[in-house]
Amino acid sequence: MGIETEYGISLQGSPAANPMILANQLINAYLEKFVPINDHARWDYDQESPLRDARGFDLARKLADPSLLTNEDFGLANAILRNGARLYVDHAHPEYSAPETITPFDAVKWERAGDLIVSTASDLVYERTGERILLYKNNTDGKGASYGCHENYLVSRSTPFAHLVRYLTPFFVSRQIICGAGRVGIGQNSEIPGFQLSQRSDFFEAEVGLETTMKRPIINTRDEPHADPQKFRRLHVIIGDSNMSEVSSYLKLGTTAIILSMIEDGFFTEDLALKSPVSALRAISHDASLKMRVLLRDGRSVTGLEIQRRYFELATDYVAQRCSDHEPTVLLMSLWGQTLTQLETDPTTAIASVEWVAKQYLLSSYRDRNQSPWADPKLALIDLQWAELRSDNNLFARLVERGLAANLHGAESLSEATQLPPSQTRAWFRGECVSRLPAHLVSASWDSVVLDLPDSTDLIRIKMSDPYLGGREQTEVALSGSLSDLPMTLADIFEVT
Amino acid sequence: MMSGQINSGPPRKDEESSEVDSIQVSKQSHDVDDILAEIDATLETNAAAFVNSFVQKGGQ
Repeated sequence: MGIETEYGISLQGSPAANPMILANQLINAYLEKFVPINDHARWDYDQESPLRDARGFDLARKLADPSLLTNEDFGLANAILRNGARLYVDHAHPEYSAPETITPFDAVKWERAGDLIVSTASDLVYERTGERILLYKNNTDGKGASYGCHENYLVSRSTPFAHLVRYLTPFFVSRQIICGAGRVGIGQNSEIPGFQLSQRSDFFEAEVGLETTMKRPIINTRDEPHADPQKFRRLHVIIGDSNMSEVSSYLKLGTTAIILSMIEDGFFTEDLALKSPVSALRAISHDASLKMRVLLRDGRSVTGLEIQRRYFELATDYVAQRCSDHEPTVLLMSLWGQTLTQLETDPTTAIASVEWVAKQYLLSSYRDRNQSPWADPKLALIDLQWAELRSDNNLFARLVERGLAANLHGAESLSEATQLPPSQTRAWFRGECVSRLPAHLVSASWDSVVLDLPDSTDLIRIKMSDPYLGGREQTEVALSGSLSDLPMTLADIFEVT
Repeated sequence: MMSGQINSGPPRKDEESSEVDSIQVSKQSHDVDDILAEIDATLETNAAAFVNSFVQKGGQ
């Protein structure tokens, strides 16, 4: 699994500065210092197919909105980092796509490493030019624009897509209760003053679809596995908020991964189908008292919290039957259950694990003290400053410092994750090629590495069609051997042509 | 203060356990008062102008 983050970006003092140029400047500053490649290795687009739909057809290229064409190289920064991540300019935002990890705990670590990477890049630009690029880990400007935080999960190809839609939709509609980042303003343009649970919910307009930038669907059907399509599907989840809180991010990834395992194993028999998922998503987000009831297709009326509680009960049965001795899963379940109990009893007690609760606590304290109405622009500014990444200015970090919120990973651990790839997936091989073979790396992508080796007249193309293959244990012998043996030793692990 | 934050090193299983186990905090109102005072002292004085000028292009 792994997370892609699109950061909000602006130049301090020059709000009209071109965001694409800023993002490009930011990324190039980082690459020059930290990625030891002259004329950086190219991103290899050959395997990408963003117009492939999981329902089984291709959207004609000429019919697609230009924003869907992510595999065109416009000469903007686009690189692979030492930690196996991709850092590039996407739709006028800097985007960091974290390397593939096995556990939600690790996924959060390498996701957060991205925050550190773009912050470092901003410092480098500042040292060089005296200009400060501000970065925001949020999902909207409150004026109609939204940018995403996408989760990716590897799912077995044999799982029927209809099952994913059926069992994930009510889960996604209610999930914001435990992992929403909170937002000041209601409506795509924040036209109604107020507070809601999620940054993203007002921007979803469809139940299922291929689009990611307009008519956004609760279930995204992009079918681009970046792996063997016979075996794997990459579920591209676009509905989540970017989280400052590591605990919220961990709950978001961990609970979703468990639900996906249950769907893959055919564990669900109970259908919690909603009558109107899109309006339920908004209604639940707009009610921080968590009392709003939404209609199921069978006529029952339930709260979002009740939907979450039911998924939790089913997951508890599943874990008891299938993996009761898997400690990380048991811990995740315990945190999920504890968080739901807190939200059911008194939402403010969930301040340490639920980001929107922590944000609401700070905003309410400010409002109480200053008698501010929700329309007070200071509150919108607090919302922005919550997600502004400079550590001295970030308001979520202030709460952590004072023990009002918690984190999972320490500064050293995150710093290490900016330079080292996760050791259990093919991200290890990709990242180590950047670190150890910079002079020979021609291009790379999620599932390929192309090397130019001295003893060979042709380029060596390495296909990594299984994300689980290519970790430290499998590739260490090949990577520490001689360059001339490399094609042979790699051929034992990957398909080499 | 919350009990225990991870300090360094790779996430070993036992470390993961102790971290995830100990997500709890003791709320103290003076802590948030400090943050509010800091907000008053450091946040842009012209909040409306700053918020209005924060305009992003749409993304995915």
